[in-house]
Amino acid sequence: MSVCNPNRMLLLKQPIRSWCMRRAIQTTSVTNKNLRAGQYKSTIHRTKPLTYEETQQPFKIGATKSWNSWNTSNLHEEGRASETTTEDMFIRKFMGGTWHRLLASEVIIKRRHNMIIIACLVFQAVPPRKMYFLSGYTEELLSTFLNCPVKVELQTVKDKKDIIFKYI
Amino acid sequence: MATSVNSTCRVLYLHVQNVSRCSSRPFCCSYRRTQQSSVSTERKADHGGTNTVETIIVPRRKKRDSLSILRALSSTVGKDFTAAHNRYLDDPFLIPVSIREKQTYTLSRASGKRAAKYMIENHSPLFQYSNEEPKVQAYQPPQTEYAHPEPSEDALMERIGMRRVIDAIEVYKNLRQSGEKLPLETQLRLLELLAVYNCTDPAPPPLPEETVYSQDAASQRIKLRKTWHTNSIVEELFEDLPEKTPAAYNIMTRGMAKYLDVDGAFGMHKEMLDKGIPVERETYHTLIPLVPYYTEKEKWETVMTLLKEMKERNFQANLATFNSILLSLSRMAAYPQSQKHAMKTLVEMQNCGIEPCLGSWYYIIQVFYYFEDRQSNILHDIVSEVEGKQFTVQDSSDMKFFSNAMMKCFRNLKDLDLAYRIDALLHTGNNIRFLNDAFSEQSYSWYFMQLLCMFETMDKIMEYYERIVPSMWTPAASGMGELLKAIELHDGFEHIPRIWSDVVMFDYMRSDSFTEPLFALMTKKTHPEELQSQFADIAEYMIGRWKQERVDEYTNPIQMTATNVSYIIILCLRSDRFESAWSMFQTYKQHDRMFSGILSDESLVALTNTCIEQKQPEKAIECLSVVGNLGLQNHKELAEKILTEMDLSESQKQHIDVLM
Amino acid sequence: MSVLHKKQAQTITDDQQDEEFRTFEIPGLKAKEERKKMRRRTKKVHPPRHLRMRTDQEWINVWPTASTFKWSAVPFPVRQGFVKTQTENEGVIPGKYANAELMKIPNFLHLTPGHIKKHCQAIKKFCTAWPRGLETDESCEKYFPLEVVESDYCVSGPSIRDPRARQVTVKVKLSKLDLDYHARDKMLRLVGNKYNHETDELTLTTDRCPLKKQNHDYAMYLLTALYHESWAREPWEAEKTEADMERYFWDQSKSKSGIISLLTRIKNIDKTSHSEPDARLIPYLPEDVTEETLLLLPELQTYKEAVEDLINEGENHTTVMNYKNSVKKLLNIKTPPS
Repeated sequence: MSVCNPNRMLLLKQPIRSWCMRRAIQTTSVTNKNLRAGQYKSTIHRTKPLTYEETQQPFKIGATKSWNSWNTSNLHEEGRASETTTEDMFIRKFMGGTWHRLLASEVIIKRRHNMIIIACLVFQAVPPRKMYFLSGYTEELLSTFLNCPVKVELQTVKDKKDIIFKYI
Repeated sequence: MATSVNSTCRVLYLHVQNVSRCSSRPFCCSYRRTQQSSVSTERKADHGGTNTVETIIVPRRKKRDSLSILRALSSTVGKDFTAAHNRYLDDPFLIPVSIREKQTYTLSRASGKRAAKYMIENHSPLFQYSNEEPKVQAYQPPQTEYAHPEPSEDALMERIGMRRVIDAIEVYKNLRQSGEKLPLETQLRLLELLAVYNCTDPAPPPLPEETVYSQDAASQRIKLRKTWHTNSIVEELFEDLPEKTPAAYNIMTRGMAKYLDVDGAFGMHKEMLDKGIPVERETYHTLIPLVPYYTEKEKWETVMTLLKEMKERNFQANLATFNSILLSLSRMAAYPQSQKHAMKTLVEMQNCGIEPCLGSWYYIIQVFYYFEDRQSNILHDIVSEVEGKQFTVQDSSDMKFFSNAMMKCFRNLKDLDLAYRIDALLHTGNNIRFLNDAFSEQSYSWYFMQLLCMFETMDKIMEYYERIVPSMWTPAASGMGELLKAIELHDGFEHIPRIWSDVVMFDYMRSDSFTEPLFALMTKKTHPEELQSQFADIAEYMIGRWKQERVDEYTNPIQMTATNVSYIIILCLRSDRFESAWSMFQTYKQHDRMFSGILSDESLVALTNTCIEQKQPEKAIECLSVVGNLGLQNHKELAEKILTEMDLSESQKQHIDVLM
Repeated sequence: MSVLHKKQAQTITDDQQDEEFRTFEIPGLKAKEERKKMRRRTKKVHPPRHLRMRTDQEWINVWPTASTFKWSAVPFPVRQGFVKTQTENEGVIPGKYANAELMKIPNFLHLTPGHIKKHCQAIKKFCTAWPRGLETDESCEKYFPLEVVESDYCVSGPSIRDPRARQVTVKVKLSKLDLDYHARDKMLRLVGNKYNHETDELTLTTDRCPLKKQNHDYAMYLLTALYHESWAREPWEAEKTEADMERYFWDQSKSKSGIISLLTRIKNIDKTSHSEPDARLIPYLPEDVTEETLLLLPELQTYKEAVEDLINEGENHTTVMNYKNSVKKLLNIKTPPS
């Protein structure tokens, strides 16, 4: 919240008693969103870089941010929600470890029929043959672990500057 | 996404008017039987007079299997020429362009898969959880432990089933030592296993990425040699058989033939004939191709003898029979009669009503075009025969058809129309599958390109080039050389910048054996301004790259000859880029040990003239000194020119005098 | 310790040999030689392939199946993201390069109208024509009165099994079944709330067997059994009392016996006291008054219908008026002139 909010300045000009000991009623709809989750602390000189994903907080999912995990388990009367979520958690940890310091975005997991499609942005920090090695390894290992075809679809990004959205 | 597919079907409900119609339903029937005693049914078939039900003809469902619709949908998809092969990841950073990159990326991927398999094998308890239906065999970790660890007949059968040859041999030896009698069937199965795999464990099945790069020029040249283990456990087992059935003899013969123990195989065959043991048709299929290695003379006669034996046994010839005959002939291709025999075989095939597969055509091509100078129209006839047809894989030699056809088309026939027809055949339906490994693809495209460069106009060549390179095919350095020749022939200099960008991509500008002809071509004559400036850009790029690689301390930096340097200088000068030319000249002077050869006089003359034009006397004198050092002929003329055309100071004039 | 001494000893001896002072280096005075940075050789990235795409290419070749968004393969510019202020990404909505949001959303580049057209053309050969004679819903109902509803479920997961898929629903209109009054009444009693009065439809839903086929067979069996049972008359059905009656039947009611006795009495009165036809209470009564003759009287039939309607349908204006009129006619009650 910026200190230079003009409305707030006006409020400050009034005697304190009048604006903090006033009774009022809520006139707008109550939203019990957790507005404090996912908030990054801003720096004095505005040097902390944030990606688009980090800029949009969790309550913005569905509005200006999209889901990272796409499957049918949360639809009406559809099952297998817990297994799907646990598998997703495993996949994210696995990707984070296998592609060490190479992931430029969150891992996006899409499930289509019995396939799992893993998409992510990757830095061009290692030569392409190493990326092919990692992708072959990931696909084979996860396919055997999760018992369904797993495909890895990467998009590479030259360096960190390309994904920085905002400095905070 | 979840969809519930409601299949609402209206069934033609047979109005239950009488009992007989109802009897087709089993439940209904049984129900009626139990109720008959207590119930009196009083139904009447009254529906208001005659009930004429018009016949509604519901058409029969069109036959389709589980994959028909998918196949139909995939037939709508054509080829995208800008995309790399499906096995590569689709990202500019990750798409391979040069030959080395393509191979490296494919094999790295395979290597990653192997690493994963290693992990899975060593930690198989972690991969046991599987909750899917139906269970997918491919995703189960490999079974590492045997159900029967102790030597027994069951253990032996288990190992045979899992194709673990070495373990099977061990179990068998244990059983033999302990004196346990095995039934004949088990022994025969073990014999079969050992014969098929030649007493060694089979190699793990290659991954698809590995098969793509399994062949290369070296493997094509490997000579066939005997690998059968003589006096090994197989033969011991064969001797120990309680009863030597015909099956056992056939297995042994086929095993020996597979591993090229020619004498052993034919010895077995003779033994079988002497003892009157029936020889099976498949055994003949393995013996016939070995005849060229067995006898030195009368090869065809021996083949005919074997065929006669087959006829006596009333065997029906099938595609495999004819393919074996043709394979035998392709091994005898050096003899002139082989062509005649091949034609006869084809006629025989036609008479039997057997359609030749692509492999059969491959063998025939091998026979007819064995020597480079052999001319024949057979390839034309073959292509006319198979045009427009879609083939399925029936023989392992099918894969060799297209690359060989194109090779013979180029080497022997030099016929471009035929090449176009072969290309059309390749792109019919799914026939592109027959060009599945990198080596065949490379040789096919290479020969096709050579033909195009020879006979086609520049536009057509470039059209094909743009389409194929680099997504489908990366030309080798020699391939680019052919292209340059074509450019020279057809005066297609405007395409050089495009080709240069590809050359940079494929990393061919490292070798001066390639860049020298290219630069020579570029400097051959003057071109319009825009093109000339593009050439100058190329020259500058070359200079920059050379310098950069030395600054970055590459282990194998670009090598340039002095002739190359002279071409570069000329190109720069033609586009009025004096600074670049001069910097190149300076670089040459500084590091002249790194450049083999000497600068050409043409370049030095041009440089000097430009110095004169630019009114730079110091530089002109520098050039002159180099000319003098190299001992070129134009020394004096240049000196005079400098003296006359330029305003020089006294010291400079003296300098020139010294140089002269 | 001994090593240190050794070193010190060595330097002292060196010094004595050099006969020079060691130079004192002031840190920071002399610029140190910069060590050459190990510049990582980055692979040159080629231009994206959409630059090489022709404008008249077939999009179906480029994007045949559902795939994550690939910025280098998509030839048009597209942006996704929300930018609140000028500070965010310089006020520009992020483009397609390095945009994870575009990768997240499902794109339909594999189902453009061109795709659909080609797919339909390819699949057409598996289709058969709609049967002639079944153009309208009514004709479908006429020739195919039985409706079977089965569902298959498609879920994103490694298993193809779904317990919901075994359910089978069978629907039929009772008017299509051959039922007489008793059979229909019995059927309705057997079936209970599975019958929809408004649409005259009987719905049987089965899921008690593990397989769809078994449930289908069971549903057919159930329907057949219901049909036969509803036609069968059990001996105990004869014990049906008035309380079990589904409708009011005047023929079996007290009203009938009451009216008949009333009319008989009136006839007797007429016979004895009023001999002139004009003076009779109910003139239309026949001479021979028995139950059969009375039942033939149209006035009685009208009364019967009115009473049945009144009780079966309930009291509304029509039924009450009908009843009033029928009673007046029956008992020859005339409204007195005003």
